[in-house]
Amino acid sequence: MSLQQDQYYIDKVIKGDTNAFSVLVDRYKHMVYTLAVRMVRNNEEAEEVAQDTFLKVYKALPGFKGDSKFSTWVYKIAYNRSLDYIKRLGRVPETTLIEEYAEHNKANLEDVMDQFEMDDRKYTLKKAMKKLPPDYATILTLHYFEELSLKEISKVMDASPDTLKVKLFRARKRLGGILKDKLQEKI
Amino acid sequence: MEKDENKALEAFYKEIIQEAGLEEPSANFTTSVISKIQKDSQRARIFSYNPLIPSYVWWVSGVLLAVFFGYIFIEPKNLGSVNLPTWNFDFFNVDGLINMLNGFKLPDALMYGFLSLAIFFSVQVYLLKTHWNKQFNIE
Repeated sequence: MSLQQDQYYIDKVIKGDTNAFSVLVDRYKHMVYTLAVRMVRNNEEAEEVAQDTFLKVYKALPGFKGDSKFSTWVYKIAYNRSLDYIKRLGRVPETTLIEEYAEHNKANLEDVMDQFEMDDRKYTLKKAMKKLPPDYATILTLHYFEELSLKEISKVMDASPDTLKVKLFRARKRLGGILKDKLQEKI
Repeated sequence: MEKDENKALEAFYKEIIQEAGLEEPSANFTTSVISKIQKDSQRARIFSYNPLIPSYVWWVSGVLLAVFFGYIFIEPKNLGSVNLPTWNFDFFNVDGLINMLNGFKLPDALMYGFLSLAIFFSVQVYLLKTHWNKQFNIE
């Protein structure tokens, strides 16, 4: 969604039209909720975090300068809110120091995916995403689903594109490994 | 070759992550957000800052004070001498009090103890203030 498409509603909200905000919420709620679910790993808590994100967005809206896309700005708030939530509960965000999974080749991974039945695939993929460390799940979602560049993701996650490139590579390896493990569990 | 494999992997991950799709929030998600915003703005109205003394009272007081001092400086002849009552403060024996404390020496340990207590108290005031500020801060 381009900034121009959002700007009309942003201006209306700033002028005091609360209902115009519902258009923006409807536009971004799925992505914000998905990021929250994949970070806090609990649906009810993620719902709370996602709603809290939109409250923060509403309050901070007059300060939105339009330097980046509105969506990037919203995702940044969602990412930070989720991180704060994890930290507040005393859950240490998991990071991977030792890479226990080797990078798989495409043919190998396709074989793994083909073993899952169609109905099972989506469910397994969603479960696998929830098993990833919060940072990895965020990068994969923003890069492959939302198709954000590493430069744009660096604004969301406050890290350099080079660091994110390494993380993306590791996240892919980790996801591949989890999917393989899931298949072995099934067998 | 490696580049091709990397491209193929990129495409593969894109495909499976798109396939996984997005999570679905509850059906009343947007309604909840909007009602929370409306509740918040109502609360903000209730707790909006209203000065105890309105600004026009300050202005009136300022003008009256200016008139009063202006009158004193411009027309001092109009003011008669004011007789203040005289009181005797002899009952307050300052010399006796000083003599009483003459031989008193504060032990060093007690002095350092009081000093440490004062420092801890000052630090605690700052910490408590910060803590309460955070508690009542509405982001």
